[in-house]
Amino acid sequence: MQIIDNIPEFKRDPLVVLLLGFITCGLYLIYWNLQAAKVFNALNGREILSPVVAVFAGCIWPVNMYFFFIIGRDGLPALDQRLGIPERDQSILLMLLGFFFPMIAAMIVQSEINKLYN
Amino acid sequence: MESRREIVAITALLLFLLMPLVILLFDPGADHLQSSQSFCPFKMLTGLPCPGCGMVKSMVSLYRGAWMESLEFHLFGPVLVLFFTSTLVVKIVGLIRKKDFPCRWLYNPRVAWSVAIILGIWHLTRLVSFILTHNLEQILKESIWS
Repeated sequence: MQIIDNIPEFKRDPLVVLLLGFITCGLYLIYWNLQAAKVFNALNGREILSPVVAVFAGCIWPVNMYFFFIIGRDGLPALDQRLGIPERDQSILLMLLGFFFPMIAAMIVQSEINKLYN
Repeated sequence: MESRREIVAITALLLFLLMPLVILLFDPGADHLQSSQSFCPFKMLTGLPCPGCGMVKSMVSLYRGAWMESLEFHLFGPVLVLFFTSTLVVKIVGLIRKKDFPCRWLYNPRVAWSVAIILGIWHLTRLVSFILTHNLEQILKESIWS
């Protein structure tokens, strides 16, 4: 994995995240969570997401809700700050999506992560 | 800010640990749980289990004292109950004493990858075994399309 300005590069097509999530029967989400946690921890400059929790968030309720809540509350605002755009709190939306459709929540977060590398 | 994050974590842990007790309260034999449609969105769509499928059943069995049944439903059920209970205790004590007890292994990438690999291998084995022992009709019966 490449490191760009201390942030690991994790650029994927959001549609690929959704498709791989389905094709691998959810296994890809475990890998995706680990990589996303790495990016958000680097963005925050501290460990907001434990990698062990990220693994379990790939498959277990309500750990996935917690994972996406923290991404929405601490992760994405740090990303917005980095991009120089107004910070948004998407914690509730992501938490609910994480509960009902974790693959869709991952797609949304991936599209936000991709903005870092544009 | 930090204590708010801890409260969110404690709430999630409590939800996880208490949910099977609530199920047992309304369905002591857990018969409905065994026969009803899974709430897992992936299983509802495909009929195939996701890596977390069987976790609630595993925990319910564990709370009923059926250890082997619990392990059959999900290998990580008893492990997770132990892991989350200890994390909950550490977090509550930390919140009360306003002191941070760092669980370093929680942030160790090697531990995370080891857990991910074990979970992955176990899930693949379960998936292959599920496909080999079920025909298409039986798989679809597990989904919402039957």
